[in-house]
Amino acid sequence: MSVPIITGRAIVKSFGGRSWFGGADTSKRAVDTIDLDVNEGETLAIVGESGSGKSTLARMLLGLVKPTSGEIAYYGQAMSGFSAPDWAKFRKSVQPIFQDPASSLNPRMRVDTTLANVLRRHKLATAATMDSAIGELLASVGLDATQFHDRYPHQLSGGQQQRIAIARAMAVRPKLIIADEPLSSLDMSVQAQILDLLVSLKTSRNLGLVLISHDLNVVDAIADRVIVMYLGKVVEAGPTRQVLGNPASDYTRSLLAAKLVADPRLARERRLAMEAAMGKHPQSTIQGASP
Amino acid sequence: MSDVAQPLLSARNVKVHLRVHGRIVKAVDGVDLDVLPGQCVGIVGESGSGKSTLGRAMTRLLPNVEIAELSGSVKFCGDDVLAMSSDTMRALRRHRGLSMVFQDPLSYLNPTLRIERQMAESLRHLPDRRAVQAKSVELLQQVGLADAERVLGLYPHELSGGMRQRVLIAMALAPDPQILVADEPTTALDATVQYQVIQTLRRLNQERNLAMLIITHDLGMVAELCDQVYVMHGGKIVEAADVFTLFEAPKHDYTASLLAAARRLHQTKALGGLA
Repeated sequence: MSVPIITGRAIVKSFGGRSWFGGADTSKRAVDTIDLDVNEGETLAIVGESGSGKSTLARMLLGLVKPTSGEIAYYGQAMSGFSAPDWAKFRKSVQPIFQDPASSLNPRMRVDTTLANVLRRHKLATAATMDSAIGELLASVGLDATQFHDRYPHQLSGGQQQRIAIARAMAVRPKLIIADEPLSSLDMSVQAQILDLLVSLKTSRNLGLVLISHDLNVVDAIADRVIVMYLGKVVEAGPTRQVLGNPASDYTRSLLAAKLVADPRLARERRLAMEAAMGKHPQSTIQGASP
Repeated sequence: MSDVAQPLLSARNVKVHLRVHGRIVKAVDGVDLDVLPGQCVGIVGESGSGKSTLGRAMTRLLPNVEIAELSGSVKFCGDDVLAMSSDTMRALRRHRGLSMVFQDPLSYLNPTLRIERQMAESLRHLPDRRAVQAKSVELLQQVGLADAERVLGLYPHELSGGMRQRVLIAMALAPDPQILVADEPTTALDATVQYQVIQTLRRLNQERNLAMLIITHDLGMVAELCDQVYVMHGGKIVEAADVFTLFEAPKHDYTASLLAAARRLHQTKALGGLA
C-alpha cells in the first residue's frame, strides 16, 4: 500500500519570464513548490478550480512537461535523469486518461487499431493473440468486442469513447493512471457508469490513480486522499474523509458550498440556511467568484 | 381560456424530424410542454434525447436545412411562434419576449469586440450612448458582476468562463424578456462558478419573476432551480411532474435510472448528514 510510485519534491512550474531583451520578470508560477507522493493502489485526488495548476501538475507527473525546478521521481529514480529505456518502462506503468475522449482518440483509426498499436509497441501481444487480447481489453471496460472492434471514434458515444480511452490506458497493465477530469465531458448517467468502471478497475487491479477534478462528489466516491490546490499552491491535503468532512481552508469550504445535491428539498433548505447565515447574496462569499 | 395562470410558452404535439444521411431521425416526436409566467421549468435527458432540438424549435432557432418535418404548435402568449413571420419573431426577441442562453459562452461572443460594443447591440432601443452605458452597467451588476465598468472595457478572452456566461445572461436580459431559455448554461463551467451562475438565474427568476426553461442533463441543477420538470427520452416526454414529486416518486423507469445516476454522483459520504 504505502510504496510510493511517484514522489514529487518542491515541484515548481513557471510560465513566461524575461524577454530576450531583458526587462521585468513576468513569470507566473502555475505550480508553486508542491510536495506529493502517489502510493501503489491508492487514489489521490487533486482538486481545484480552472487555473489552479492541477492540470499542469498532472502533465509533469506524466513527464509531458518538465518542472522548472524541483524533482519528480519514479520509484526513487529521478525523472530528469531518465534514459530512453527508462522512459519506455515509465510509459508502460504510468498512463493518462484525458477529459475529452473525442480529441484524445485518433479519428482515422478504428478501435482495434488504436488498441493494437499499444499492445504491439509494448510487445504485449503477437499477431496470433492480438484479437483475443483486444477482446479482453474491450470486455474489461464493458464493451462487446464483436460489436465495437471495427468502429471509428465518431461512431461511438462520448461514454463509449471514454471507455476506449480507458481500455487503451489499461492495455499496458499500468501501475498508475493519471486521469485529468475524466468525467466532466460526459452526461450524468454516463458519468456514473465510468465512475463505477474506474472504481472496479482500481480495486480489481490494485491500480494507483491520480484523479484531477473539481467535482467533489466524484472525489468523494473514489479518492483515498485529497490535495486541494489554489493558485498553484496546496492549500489543504489529507485523507478524503478529513478534508471533505472537516475542511480547514476557505477554498475547500467554498467548493463544498457549491456542490449540488440531487434533492430539491435539501437544496432549498441548504440555500435558506446559507442566506440566513450570509445575508442576501450567498454567491458573493464564494471564492474564485470575482476575477 | 381558464382563469388561472395562462401558460406563457406552450408546446403542443411538437415534432421535429431531421434528415441525417438520407435517414429520418425523429429528434422530437410529439411533445407537449407548458411554462407558466414566473415558473422555472426543466427539461432533462441524456445527449441525443432531443432536449436541445426541442429548445431550439420552441425559440425558432433550428437550422432549417436538414428538417424533414416540423409540426405541432408552439405558442408564446397565445401567438403561434412556428407560424410567425421572421419580423414578428425578431420583435418578440427584442422586446419583452424570449431570450436564450447557450452552453459554450465563448462561441457566442465576438472575440474582436469589447463587451461594451456587444452589449450595445442588444440595447439599440435606447436613445443615446449614455443610456446604453448606464443600462449595460445595471445589467452586468444584476448578474453579479460587481465591477461592471471594468468588464465593459474588456474583450471576451480576458474574461473567465463564468464571467462570459454571466455577460451572455446580461445580454439576454437586455430586452427585458418574460422568459429565458437556457440550454446547458453551466456545463462548461467550474463547480464554484456553476453554483454562482445557478444562483444568479434563481435570483433573476425570483426578483424579476422571469420564467425559465432550463435544458440540462444535471439533476442536481434541476433540484436546485426548477419548479416543474419534464424528462425526455428518445424524442418523447416520458414523465412530467413537479420537482418534489419527480425526485421522491419517479413513475417512469428511465427517470428512476437518471435519479440513481445523479444520486451516485451527488452523494457525499464524508459529509454525512450535512449534505
